[in-house]
Amino acid sequence: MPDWAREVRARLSSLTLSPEREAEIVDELAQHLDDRWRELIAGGASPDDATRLTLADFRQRDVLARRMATLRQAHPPASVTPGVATGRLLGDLRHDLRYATRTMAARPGFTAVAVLSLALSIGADTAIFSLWNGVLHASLPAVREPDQLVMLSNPDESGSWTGRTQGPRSWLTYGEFEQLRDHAEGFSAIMASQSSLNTWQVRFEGGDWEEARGRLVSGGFFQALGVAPAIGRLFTAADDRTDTPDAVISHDYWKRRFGGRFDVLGKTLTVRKAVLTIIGVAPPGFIGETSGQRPDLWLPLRMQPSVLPGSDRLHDTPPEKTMWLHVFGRLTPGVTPAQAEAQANAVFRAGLESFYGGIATPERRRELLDQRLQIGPAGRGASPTRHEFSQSLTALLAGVAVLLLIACANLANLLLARGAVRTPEMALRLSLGASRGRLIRQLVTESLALAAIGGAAAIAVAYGLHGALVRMLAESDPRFHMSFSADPLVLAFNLPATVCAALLFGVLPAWQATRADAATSLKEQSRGGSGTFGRLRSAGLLVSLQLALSLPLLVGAGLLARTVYNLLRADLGFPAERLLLVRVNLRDAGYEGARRDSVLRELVGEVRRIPGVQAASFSQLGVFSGGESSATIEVEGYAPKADGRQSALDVIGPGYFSTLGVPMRVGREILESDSGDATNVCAINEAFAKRFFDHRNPIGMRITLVNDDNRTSYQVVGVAKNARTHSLRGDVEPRFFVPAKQPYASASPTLLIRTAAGTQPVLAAVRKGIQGVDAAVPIMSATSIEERMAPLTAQDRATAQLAVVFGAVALALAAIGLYGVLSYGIARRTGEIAIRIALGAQRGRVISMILRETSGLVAVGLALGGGMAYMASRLIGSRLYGVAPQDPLTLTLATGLLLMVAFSAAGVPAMRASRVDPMTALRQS
Amino acid sequence: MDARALDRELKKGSAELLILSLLAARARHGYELNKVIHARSRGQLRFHIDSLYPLLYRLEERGWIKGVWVEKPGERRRTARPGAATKDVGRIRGGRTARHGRRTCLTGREKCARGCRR
Repeated sequence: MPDWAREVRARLSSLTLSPEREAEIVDELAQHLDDRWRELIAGGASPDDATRLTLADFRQRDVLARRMATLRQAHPPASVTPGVATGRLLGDLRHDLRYATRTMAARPGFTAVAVLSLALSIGADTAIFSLWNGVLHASLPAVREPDQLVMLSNPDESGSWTGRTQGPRSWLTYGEFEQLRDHAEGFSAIMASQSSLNTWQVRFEGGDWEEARGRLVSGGFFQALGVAPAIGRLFTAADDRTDTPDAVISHDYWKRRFGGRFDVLGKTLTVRKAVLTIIGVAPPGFIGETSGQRPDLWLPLRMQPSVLPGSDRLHDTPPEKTMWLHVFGRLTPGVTPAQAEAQANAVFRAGLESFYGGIATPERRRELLDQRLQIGPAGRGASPTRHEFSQSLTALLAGVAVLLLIACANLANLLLARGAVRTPEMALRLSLGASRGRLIRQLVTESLALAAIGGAAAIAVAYGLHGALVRMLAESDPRFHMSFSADPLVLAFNLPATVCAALLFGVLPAWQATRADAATSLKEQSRGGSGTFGRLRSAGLLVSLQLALSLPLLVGAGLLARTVYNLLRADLGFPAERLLLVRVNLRDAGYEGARRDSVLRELVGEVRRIPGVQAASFSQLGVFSGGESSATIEVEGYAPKADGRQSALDVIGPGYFSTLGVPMRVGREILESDSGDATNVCAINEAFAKRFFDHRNPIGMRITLVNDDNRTSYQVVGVAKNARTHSLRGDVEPRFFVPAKQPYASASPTLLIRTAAGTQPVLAAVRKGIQGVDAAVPIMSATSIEERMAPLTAQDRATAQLAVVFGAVALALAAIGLYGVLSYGIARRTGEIAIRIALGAQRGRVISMILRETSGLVAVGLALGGGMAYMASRLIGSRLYGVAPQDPLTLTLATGLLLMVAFSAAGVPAMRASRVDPMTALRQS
Repeated sequence: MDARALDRELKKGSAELLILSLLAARARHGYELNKVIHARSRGQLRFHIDSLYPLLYRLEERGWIKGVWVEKPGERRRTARPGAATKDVGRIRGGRTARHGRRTCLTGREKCARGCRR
């Protein structure tokens, strides 16, 4: 029997099949020929004939090869030397990625560290960026064409003000809104919303009372924002004309509270004195016109008297106005904001003229008419927190960016060390014909793959962190709420951050790793030689950079920590403990006029009798309540300067100063005997005395409160020490205090209760006491001074905590980096050190040699870092309290800490070097 | 049936269909396949070894059939069976070849075994 395999192989020889494939084909065809031959033999043919006939099945010698040539298997891919330039970019990329996965899988420890540190730092960056973007830049969600929206009020302010005002308006009155809505050209739609968010006790269909947040809005609210209902219907312009008890709820609230059931439409809800019907659900994602808040329900403005009882904010009596509304408009196409502003102001001014028409004196009129509207873009919506949080968020964003840089430097260092291990591999590839550019590309692809995994994980980290950050911010403003959105802008941040990180930590090590001259490197490997100093130099530079970047973080953390320390120990001018603040609403309970005075006296008297209460009084504003009150005054013997006719004011009860614990500098405090028909007296604070009386003795002087044509004079009886009752920051404002009596008796005063021990045990008795006087008096809030002040420092505490965490992480990374570089350097130089020791170098000399080298790195780092710290401290300058941005103590402490950590990190490898046994080390090499 | 006629059919793609339909019934190895074709065409049709195998390999590359080595005592043969992409080969056969249109009549005679005209 002939050798069929040889026959077949000869016919395949012109093809380039892979060896395995060729063997298979040869096998199969040989089998076929064999079968055929056996059949012929069985049919009686002679072996020679059978062989001839069998081979005749192959026609010309090259038919098989020709037919096979068109098959794919005849063209196996050329074998690849990793790193050899093939000129096919995509093919290379696929190859590199496969190689990268293998290298990553081969070193799971390194991969985990790299991915984790990238995920954490990019995640933190993304989370803070997302929040920063959400608070400062993002457009209102779910609103149609937000760029067309403008605001006629101040987007940064929320609240209300009753009285008079001058200059640009923060808020508008209901009457002013109506005039603008009906007469201002230039707007295709215009609407008003309550500038502050209410927290209401509500009840659905006679269920239990529960808390819900919401605001009053005009009929055109939803239409002006361009939204359609998810279900049901929304308010229309008709709601501005009649008092329709309708309510619209948010989509989120619908899902959360009602499980998204459709029978929510038509349900009734009770809010204070009103019973309303739910008519619709706003579209998903819609939060209204204020960024950072999430209302549950919207009610028509016209329902104000019954859902916010106590005052009629829909009608004003000259000259007093209640300003409480934000007004938004959508510009008619073709109208510029400037034109719209001019038109709106013309309508506004006409309104003012008719409102103040009754004021006779031209001077007064001029003063009263000095009001105007400013139009600004409102695509981002109103936000009471934007201004407040912007600096902290920007500082934090800078902080995490620095942290990311440090993490990159650290990874670069790790990769440098790995590069050193891979030098022989690279040298081998270079000598096999790989080009250096191609090798760098491959190494950078590895970095990119690492970063890609880290970046993807970062999104998950960011999601988690975002929630925590929002909770932190919400501590200083409980109404603040913002959900994490994978905004295109946020992703557009995450992606380049990831790629930049990969390039940052990948390129330098790749450059270094492929620098090796093949011959030297291969030789060196076999010799275990002393290492290339170029690589150590760049590693050292990276460590210096890490140290430099850590310094501003440490200084920032230190400054913020001291700020918090100072804020928490700020001298208020009275003891900030054992003080209970209980705000009651007398107007709601139906007390007006003189009855308010008497019920207040009765309440305070009742509270004073409670065991554990040392003293009690009250004031209109309370302490750190966020409310403020000011008045136009004339001071005897004081010539008013340009700004000098206004002063802050509070209406107080007898014993106010002694209850708070504010000492009188001169004279006496307001007493029980000053109420009723007694002479009008008042007390002032030191700031007031300094401002208005300068060096004169204020006692006995007269201060006249000017309220239009109504003038009331008060005689100064005492000067109280400056006390911080309204703001922790800034100077204490000039303030004067008048006793609570007609006509200045507060509708919702705050009882100030000084207790002997803690406030908690007394609270129940106080509630009972108040109920005992009149069960109809609602207690609006009851908090200790500590609870009241916590939100004031919450933002600073949160920022400081984060800064301290960032600083600690930065320091730890820098220490790891330093330790790694020195360990590596010493490992490479064991031979050299061994020779030194063998030649008689003292161990101490070896240690000091290593530490001397460390000093160089640290010195460069500190010099660089000092400059950065200087700039960083200016960034947070205005958030600082009681500490200068260039505070030398903080700078010294931060530097000291950095030095300590740096030398501890250097100490371990230095000790190890000094313990090198020369004999062992030299024998090894 | 001469080799040139078969070559024409190959170009038209009928041979591929023929092989697929035979393999749809059961898996066979190359030599057996050729014998079945030879028998069914009453000796009219026979593949040369240098046409058959390149054709099988092409079908294999397209994923229409799958070659597997089947071990029996004393022998090891590579057998072709329908590949994943030919689950519906039965339907193809049922549709096209059953109507026995001109293009799929492989015998090339004036009047084929089943009576269709050329």
